[in-house]
Amino acid sequence: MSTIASEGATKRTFNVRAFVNRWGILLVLIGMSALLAILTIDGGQSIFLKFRNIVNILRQSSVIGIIALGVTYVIITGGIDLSSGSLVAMIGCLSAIVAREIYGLPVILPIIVALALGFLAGAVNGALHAKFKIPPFIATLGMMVSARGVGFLITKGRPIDNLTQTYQYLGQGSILEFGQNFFVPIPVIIFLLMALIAHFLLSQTRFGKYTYALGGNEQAAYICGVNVDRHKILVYAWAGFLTSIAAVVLTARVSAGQPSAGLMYELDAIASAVIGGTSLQGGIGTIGGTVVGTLIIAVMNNGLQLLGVSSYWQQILKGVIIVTAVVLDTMRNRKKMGK
Amino acid sequence: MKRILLALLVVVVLAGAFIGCQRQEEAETAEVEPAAEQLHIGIAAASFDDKWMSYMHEGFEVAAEDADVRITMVDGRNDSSIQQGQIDTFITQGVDAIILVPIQVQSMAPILDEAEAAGIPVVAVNRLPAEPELNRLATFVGSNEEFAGRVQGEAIAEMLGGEGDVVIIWGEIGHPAQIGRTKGTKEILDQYPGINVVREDTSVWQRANALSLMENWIQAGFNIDAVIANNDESAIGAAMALEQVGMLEDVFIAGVDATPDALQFMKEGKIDVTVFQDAYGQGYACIDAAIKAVNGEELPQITDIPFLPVMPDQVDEFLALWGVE
Repeated sequence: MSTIASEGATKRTFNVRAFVNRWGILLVLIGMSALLAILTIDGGQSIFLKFRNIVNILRQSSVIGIIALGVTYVIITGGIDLSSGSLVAMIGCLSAIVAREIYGLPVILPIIVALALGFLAGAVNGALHAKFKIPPFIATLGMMVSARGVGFLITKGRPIDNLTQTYQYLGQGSILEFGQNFFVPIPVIIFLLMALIAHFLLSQTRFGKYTYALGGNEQAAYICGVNVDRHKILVYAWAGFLTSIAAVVLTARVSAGQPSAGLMYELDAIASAVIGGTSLQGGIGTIGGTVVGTLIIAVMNNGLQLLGVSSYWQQILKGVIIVTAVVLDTMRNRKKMGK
Repeated sequence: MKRILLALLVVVVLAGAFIGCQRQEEAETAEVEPAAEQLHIGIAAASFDDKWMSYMHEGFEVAAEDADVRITMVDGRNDSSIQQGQIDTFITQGVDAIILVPIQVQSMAPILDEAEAAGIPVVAVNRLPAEPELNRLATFVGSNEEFAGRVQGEAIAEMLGGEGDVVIIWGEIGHPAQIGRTKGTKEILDQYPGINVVREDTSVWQRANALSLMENWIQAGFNIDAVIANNDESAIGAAMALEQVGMLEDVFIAGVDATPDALQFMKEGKIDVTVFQDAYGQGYACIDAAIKAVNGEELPQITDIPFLPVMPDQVDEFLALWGVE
């Protein structure tokens, strides 16, 4: 198209495009929710919009959501983390072992064990990538396979149960309770809190700036004095740390550490980040986007199950939405480059 | 940073050595001392890391001792190519029979080719292969998945008095146990015009997924009188979701596996029926079948080791079986 002919319209279309670029994924979430709200109207009231259902959605999305926060950082550096699901299982089991009622240890101990282990496992991922120059896909694939094995080894394949009440509270409890009508589950609080911290770190600190710099242009970052190796290790360790929080929440939620837990969670977390606009090429992504991406997956699962859609279709739709999100993302980027 | 890396490396190496040692121990204990003129049976296990399977392995060992045969048991580590190599070794060793816990029933043909060429009978256990492979086995020892589903269906139908709305939670879609158990359940429920299956969906065997699924179903607001889950973990997830909203009392729940956790839930009155798959019995029957096969006796195509229904009054008995007091 001739540039001169479109000159007049440029200003207006630019604004619409900028608006959609910035808020597009949120609009999708709102649109989906509105549609589901209408489709689930039963006896004059929308089931989807009931307070308890909204709480269910938030609680159901919290584990994947917390993992996805860390995965967002990793993807922004241009990396990938496949180990999250297995780490959730391994860390959950180890944490559960420490949290068993028979030992009666204070709740802080199983949490510390989990967080330390998550940080360490993440650091190993990062070190394998940064120091030994192994592509992150392979480094975290190795961790994914080994961690799953460790989980089975230490539990001999069976769930670790009988956890202390305080520990279970982290997954099952809630605050601000007003009878059955209003309550905020602990997992949701933890998710929101971690999302705020992750957002602040990414957008307001040097740690965040380096993260973007690595993904944008590693060479340039290096020349500008960023300690690339150290920062990579820290980013993966931070992702591992967040994964361990998710592991504690999940373990407490289902009252057991399970070596088979967290199956495919890494893919859901990656999908959440990507749907939320994080680019697999690196350098682009926001925590807000990832939270919205997580909610889109959770809303979709919830809505389709409320409606009783067959699980074959649920899977197909989930795949379509993920691919659509990435296609839109690449088209958007191509347009930017074309300018 | 270097020092930290070094420390990590040491930890990893130590952990590896530790795991290696354990493996060796297991391998040693798995070997029963040979004596002259004994039958030698090679057992290709799927995985030594599976609690349930360990009861089957115990069945192998006890039966071998009772029948005075020599067994060599190896760990396929859930990898069919490793298993393939182990079968080759068995054939080179010249075992008299092979007991196979197939890791992938779809990739059994090459194993059978080699065993047939060497004239060694193969007994497969637990995971039912398709027709062409099934026909080439000396026998298949296993439990009929549909039977487990029927046991669940019958128990729930009786509890409901032949009337009510049932939801079914599947395991991993397409898994033989998911297909068989669901089919068996529906076969029974279909006989009751008053019973409707209102929803079915998958939890991929996972407690956490079943919990979310059940939350969403409860929220959808339709009537639920009973939950039939393809496995106990899903039944537990459903029970947790129902308990959370105070509906547990009004809903009957059925699982399969009789895991210690599920039995505990049953003891607390949260799960109403589960089904026990007799791992030990399967293992024991394999040795018998293998000996008969070597002696050229006729064997049925399928040696069925029945599932056992577990009701609340038998909980302690089954908990003891798992070594839980």
